[in-house]
Amino acid sequence: MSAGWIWAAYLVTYGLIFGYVFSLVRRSRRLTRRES
Amino acid sequence: MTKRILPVLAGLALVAALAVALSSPPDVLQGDFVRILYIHVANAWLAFLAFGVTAAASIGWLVRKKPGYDRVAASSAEIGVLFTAVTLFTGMIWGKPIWGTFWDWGDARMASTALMFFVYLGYLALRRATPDRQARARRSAILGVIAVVQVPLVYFSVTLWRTLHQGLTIRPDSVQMEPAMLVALLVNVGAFSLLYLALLTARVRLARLEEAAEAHERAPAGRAVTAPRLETGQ
Repeated sequence: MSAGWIWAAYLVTYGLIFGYVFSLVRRSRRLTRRES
Repeated sequence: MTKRILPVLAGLALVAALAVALSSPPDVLQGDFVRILYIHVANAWLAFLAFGVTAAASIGWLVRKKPGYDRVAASSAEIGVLFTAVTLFTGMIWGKPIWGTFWDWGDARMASTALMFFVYLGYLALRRATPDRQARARRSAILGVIAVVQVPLVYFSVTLWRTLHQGLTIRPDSVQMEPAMLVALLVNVGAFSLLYLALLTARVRLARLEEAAEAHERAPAGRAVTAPRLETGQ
């Protein structure tokens, strides 16, 4: 019972963080490609 | 150098923080749910720090008008919004099994944190809605200085209004926590601090690229596309 809630909290945390990191990398690559 | 070292350090620290949080002892009252609080509290503190950095950089811009301050202010606000979102979601997930509810608008801490989240979302929206770079920096710097008032308000909301959320566990004069749990919390705070630094440097670098692209798009058109001049033939 408790394990489900705990994993949900960690999944949301790391999911949001990885999603943000992924968006930073994607935007950086697009702009670097456009510059070169 | 920091381009590679900081993200690697932050990644390793997050793995260590995860291991410490999942292997720490269960709480007498909350049981294993205390493990959610390590990320919840760490992200809340880092959100406060991020918004504090936004305010400091905003003051820096208002005083010295250097674009670097604007970049740091905007980047830190974006990361602060991310950490606040994590704080809100993890708080909701913890609240359901412990309090029996995901959300309570009557709670001062929850309501003030949600308000802070939406104000900083508004800060980011204001930046997107202002195309002129100078006006954007000025308007967001003013908002960045005003909005930071919410940080102490959110922090002390649990002592100003006694509602559902528990009071301050860690104060300057006393720490009401088991040493093993305190270590788990501090390791998480350290790991998320490194993550904040890594994200901030990456976001500032991206902001520089965005400004270069924006300047390129707004550069005056070449001779070939300017309006033709009337020649008098003299």
